[in-house]
Amino acid sequence: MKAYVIKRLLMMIPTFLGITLLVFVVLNFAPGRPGSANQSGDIATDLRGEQTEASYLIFREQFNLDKPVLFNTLFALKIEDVRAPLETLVDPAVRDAATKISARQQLDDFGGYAVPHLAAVVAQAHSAGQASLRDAAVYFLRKGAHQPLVRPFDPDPSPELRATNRALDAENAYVRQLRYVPGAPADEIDNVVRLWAQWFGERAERWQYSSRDKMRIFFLETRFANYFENLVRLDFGISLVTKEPVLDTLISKLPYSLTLSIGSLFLAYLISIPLGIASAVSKDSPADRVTTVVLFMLYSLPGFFVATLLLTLFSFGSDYESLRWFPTGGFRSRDAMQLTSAGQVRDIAYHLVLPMFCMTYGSLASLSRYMRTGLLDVIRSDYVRTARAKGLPEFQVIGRHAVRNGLLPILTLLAGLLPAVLGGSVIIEYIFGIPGMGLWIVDSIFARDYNAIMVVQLFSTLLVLVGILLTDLSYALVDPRIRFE
Amino acid sequence: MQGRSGLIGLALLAGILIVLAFQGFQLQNLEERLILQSRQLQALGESSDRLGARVAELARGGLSISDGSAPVLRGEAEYADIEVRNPERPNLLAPDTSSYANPNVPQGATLYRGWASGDPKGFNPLTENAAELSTKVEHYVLEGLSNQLTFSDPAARVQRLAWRVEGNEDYTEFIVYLRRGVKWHPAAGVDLSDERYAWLRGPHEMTASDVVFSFDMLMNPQVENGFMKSYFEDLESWEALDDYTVRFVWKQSLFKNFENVVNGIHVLPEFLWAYDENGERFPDETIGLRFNQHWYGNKGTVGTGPYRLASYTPGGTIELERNEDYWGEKPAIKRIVYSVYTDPKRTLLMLKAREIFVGGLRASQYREEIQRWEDVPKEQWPDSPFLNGDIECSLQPDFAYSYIGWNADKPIFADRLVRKAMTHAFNRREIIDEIYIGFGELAPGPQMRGSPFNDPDIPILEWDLGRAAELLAEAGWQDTNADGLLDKDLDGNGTRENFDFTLLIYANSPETAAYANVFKDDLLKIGVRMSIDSAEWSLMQKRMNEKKFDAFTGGWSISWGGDPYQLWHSSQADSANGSNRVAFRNAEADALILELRKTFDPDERIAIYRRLHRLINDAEAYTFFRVPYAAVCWWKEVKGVKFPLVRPLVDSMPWWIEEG
Repeated sequence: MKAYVIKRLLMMIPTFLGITLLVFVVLNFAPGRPGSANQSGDIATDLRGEQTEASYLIFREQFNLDKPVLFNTLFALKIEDVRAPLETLVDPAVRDAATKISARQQLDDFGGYAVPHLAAVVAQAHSAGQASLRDAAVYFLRKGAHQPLVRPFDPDPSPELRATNRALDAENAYVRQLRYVPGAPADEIDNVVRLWAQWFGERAERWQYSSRDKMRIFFLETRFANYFENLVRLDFGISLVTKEPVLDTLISKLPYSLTLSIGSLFLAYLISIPLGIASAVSKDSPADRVTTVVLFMLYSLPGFFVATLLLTLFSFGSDYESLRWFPTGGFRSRDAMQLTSAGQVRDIAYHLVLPMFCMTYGSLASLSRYMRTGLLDVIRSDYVRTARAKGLPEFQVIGRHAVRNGLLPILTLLAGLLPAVLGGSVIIEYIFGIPGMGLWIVDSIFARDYNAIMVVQLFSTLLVLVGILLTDLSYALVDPRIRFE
Repeated sequence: MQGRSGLIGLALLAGILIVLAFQGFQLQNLEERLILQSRQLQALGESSDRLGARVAELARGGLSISDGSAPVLRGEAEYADIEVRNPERPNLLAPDTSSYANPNVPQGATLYRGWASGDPKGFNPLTENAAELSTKVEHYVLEGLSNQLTFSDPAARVQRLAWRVEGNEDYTEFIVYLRRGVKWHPAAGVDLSDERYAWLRGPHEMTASDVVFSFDMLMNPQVENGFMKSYFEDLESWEALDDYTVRFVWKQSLFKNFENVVNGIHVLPEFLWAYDENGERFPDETIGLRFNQHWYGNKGTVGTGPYRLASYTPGGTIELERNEDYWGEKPAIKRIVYSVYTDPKRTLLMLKAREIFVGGLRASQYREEIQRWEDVPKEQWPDSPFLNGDIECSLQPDFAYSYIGWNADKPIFADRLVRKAMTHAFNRREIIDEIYIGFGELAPGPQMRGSPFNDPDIPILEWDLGRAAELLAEAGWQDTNADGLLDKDLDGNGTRENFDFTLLIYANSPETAAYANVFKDDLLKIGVRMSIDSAEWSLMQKRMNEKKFDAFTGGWSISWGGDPYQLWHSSQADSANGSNRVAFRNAEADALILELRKTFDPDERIAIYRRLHRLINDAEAYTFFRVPYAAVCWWKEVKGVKFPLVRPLVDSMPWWIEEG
């Protein structure tokens, strides 16, 4: 048994890593791009000036969005790869804005790797008198030449690190002003083009990659490598939206969702076990049928409908004075901090009556049916018959002998519900204004907040894996016939 | 044996439970006593506040009271001794003579409001630009150099953190003189008694270095605030001349330079935003990046305004408290508490439940709660605070307009007469009355009705299908093949095309679809076939950026004045993502738009705005449609409710609350 558990735990590691990779890749290849606070989600439709683009560049750098997802082959860029989108961009014959937007995006994605080619295009276009091509190349050269600082968030930078970053910052400031307004006097443009050539000439070796460099870039200068490196150090990163560590946010959201989901789970079991027993005992009686029908009717009522209905009827905002029983939502009163601890618990319970009900009623049907079937299976078994034959009263037969074993299937079900407990309920949280996990995940998905989505996914993956293991083990515990070797 | 040990265990458990319950009971008693005490203390504080207010009142009457700190100077007279650098230049800021304070109204009480967009993404004043953050927190907590008289004259710029601004003639240099003795609020959200935050303890005075720091951060290329920075591209330098004087230099002579200096950003406290959590100043080379994700960014914000941010509980409340040390006129309401929630539909319920005191209703909610009962006998009314007089509502024009834009680059709409015919065929008044149940008024043009920039002499075209048909005939559209649709040889190749186009609508509301259908029916009567294409926002925006539309429904928000370049300059019609989507190209308008940027005289500016209004109107670039109404409702104990002429619509500064 012990060996089995250890084996299963060890197997979890590669499974977990595989899932991490899968989720990460799917997430990063999903359409839409994350934006910082000042962008809408979709870069292509965003109205931005150069300043906004500069802000976006900083944002992309910070979250490694300037790198390819899995493998980086940008070191092998050729000049044609860079020239083609530039020409599309400045071609007056191309009237289609969509084509232009995608060309621009392509050039943005090349980032710093395109610098040598951009420098070459600038020189070629300048001598060939292709003014608009040159202007565009200078623009992207300026963006590509920008370099990220080294560990800028180091709380206690060493003098060497500070010197490095000062040099980088100074160079960034230098390239930022290597510009002209399109249509400027020829000698001004000449000068800027010459300075760019000089700047690139002094640094050309930065873009000459040895095969080792290429290997490193190919595998390591990618979003996944960066993410994974941090993950190994148990650093889940900061939110792309709030810039707060996502793990802290996850932990701060847990109490809300856990109270709600564990509470409703408890309630569901509390109600459905007796219901199931009653149904099983009086199988096929009118009472059993009515319960079944009612439960299935409840089961088919959508949560958002019931929640809204309950709020309009039974909250303080109700049109019926005699029905104003519950607050309109929230997790606690706004002056809850002035209550005693017991008062706070009461306050939270009071606020959770309606949401708890909404989360519970739907699961009653399935749970009580599980209980009913489980018990019926047991009632038919030999030992129950023996107990009856012994002359035990029916109450004892059911209560002491049958129910215990009949409970097993629905208890093993618990382990499988573990991830759902973490996940929370989006709709209930939204309607009742409870700041839990469900809402957070949905907001994060809309904002393409990769780090937040990842941390939630990883935790629920972990819970699923543990849940499966627990389910298996619980089978072994309750049924001596099952053994793991 | 087994039975006995089970019994003992049960007894033990029961014993423990009894002890626990008793302990809990005692603890409860203790807590209750503590809470009672703290309430008494609070009440004591409030009564001394009232006393303080009385004393301040007396002080205004001539009595001077010194509290030991540097006196706060409010009027220009008090700055008479301060030597200014260019006394010959006029002060560009007017003294703030407005006053909303009424000493006879009750001071104190709490205004409860809703915060419907979920937890704020952060409070960093330079990198966050969420609407609720700026209208509900920053508006009360932070201050700029000048103030706008939002209730009386939004064009005026009056003294705020600056008491004097000198400008040279071409608006390229400004010298700003700061108010003295203004103190920053204490930082909320951290435990100032903790030694770790000893460096944050105040008081800190607002000085020129705060202003310079604010502009340092604004202009720092590492700071993610491109949406603001683009307004300041021409700012060349900003420097402190002394502790209370800052000099700004601009590269070009533009009207907006002044506006951007005095009204462009809020002043930020350097003692907070330039430091890490241990009180170490950020290194210069990384300060911008560190500022973007400042440790205080999700805790709160510190300003000098009439309220301070007192606390923020994620998913709970955001609380503002009156700044009792405020240099200026203090509002009557002592606390403003926002409840954070996410479902905007909850606003109505919370308002009815009196969980919030002020809130906005949607048109459909207004109809449901108020209008539909007007024809119903009183006996059948439900017991709703909207009907029994507990809640009052007011319909206020929002600072926005909706319109139909015609793509003048499409041959079908290239002709001004055609666009004018479309306007005549669009039954705007009836649509507002019937579909929008009167929630709105006809938009007169690109400016607010009643603003000086709006030319009141420009007539609004009435619904007139006959006139529309005439105009179309004048433009060469005829039904030559008797199929009921007008046709015309548009590209001169001999084949006549039917008048057939698609209106792209934003699928946000059933109202939009409804009025589009009314329009469609009316157009068919004069031989024009319109199809309706409904798109969600991102798709709609994509189609408009790519200029793939014949006509679309749109809307803009209006600021007081504002630079018309983005919407109406011809260069914006040709750029890929430009906002001049209807391809309005007019050489005179282009020249006026550029001239407006260099015109400083208020009257000349008004003349240019009005001329622009006429040009846009004559070209029929848009069919201006509706200025929507917002229904703002409040519980009757909230008194003195009035609304400003510019955003934010709900500004509780002049309000007070009568309790009981």
